[in-house]
Amino acid sequence: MKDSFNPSIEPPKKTVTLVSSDGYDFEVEEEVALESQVIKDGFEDKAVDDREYLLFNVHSDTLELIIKYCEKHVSSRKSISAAAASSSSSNGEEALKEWDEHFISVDTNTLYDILMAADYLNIKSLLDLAIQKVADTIHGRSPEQIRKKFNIENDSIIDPWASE
Amino acid sequence: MKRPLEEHQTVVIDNKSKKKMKTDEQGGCEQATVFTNLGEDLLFEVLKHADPKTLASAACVSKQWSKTAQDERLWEMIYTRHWASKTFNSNPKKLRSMVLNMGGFRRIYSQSLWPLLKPFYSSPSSSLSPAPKMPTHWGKDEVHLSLSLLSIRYFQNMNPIIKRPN
Repeated sequence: MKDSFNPSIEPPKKTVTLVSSDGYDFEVEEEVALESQVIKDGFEDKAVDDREYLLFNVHSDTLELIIKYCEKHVSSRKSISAAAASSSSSNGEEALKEWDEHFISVDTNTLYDILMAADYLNIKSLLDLAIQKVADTIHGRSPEQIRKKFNIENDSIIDPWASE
Repeated sequence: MKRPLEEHQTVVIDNKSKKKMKTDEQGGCEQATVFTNLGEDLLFEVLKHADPKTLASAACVSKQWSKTAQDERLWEMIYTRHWASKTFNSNPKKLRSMVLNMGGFRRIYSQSLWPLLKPFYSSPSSSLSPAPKMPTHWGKDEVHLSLSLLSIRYFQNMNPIIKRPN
């Protein structure tokens, strides 16, 4: 008999339940949830069985996207380090960058939701990605174009660009 | 303008498409508040990536944006990143104290560098098309010129104060 006698008894992966602001439960693997620095900190503090996190500021639509992002990053980190260990060349980083680019190409409302959620959950890489996207969006635009794009009301008294 | 992007978004969220549609309907009224609630810290982080033209533009968007975009730190970052990095690499503190004493980095742009840059930005279509690329490596002479112009203005402005007693 070989030493891998019963693969089915392998311990189940630890999971964490994330509850969105509108009351939906999302069961995710622990390492995926730990992408969020806030959850990670809470995890280390409590040490025990409290595996449910109520995320009052994150709507289920956004949370779904966030989880998707974290899952992707966890899995590609693994495959990148695996490729590095076996010293086979891979374009994992490049592919992930492309994936990120595609992921963040969303409408303004969704971008705003992702930005706020990434800030709230403290997911640094996602926050950077969203911030860069907003910066790219306003790049080279006039104040009026920025207002229009982001639905910002002009509450300032003078608009030096108005006459142009 | 953002219609094509939404198509991509609904592909992302497929198993909850029903609920998604519901929020889309609400989208109309939600839109009014979007991005106004962006905190100052996040806005600051966004504006860190801006070039001078975009930053100047951002300062005219709203009161909150104006306040954040006028932060001297942002202008200093741009100045040192784009212009003075080579010249003053050895002594950033010296540059900072000198510039801040004479009116600040934002003033360098509005009074000294902006007029120099006019040729780059003066085309009438520029407000519609993306900004032309900033020359990233400005020479030593231009940096010195901008600082000289700043100091000239500074001393010009001093004169009335000195003369006032007469």
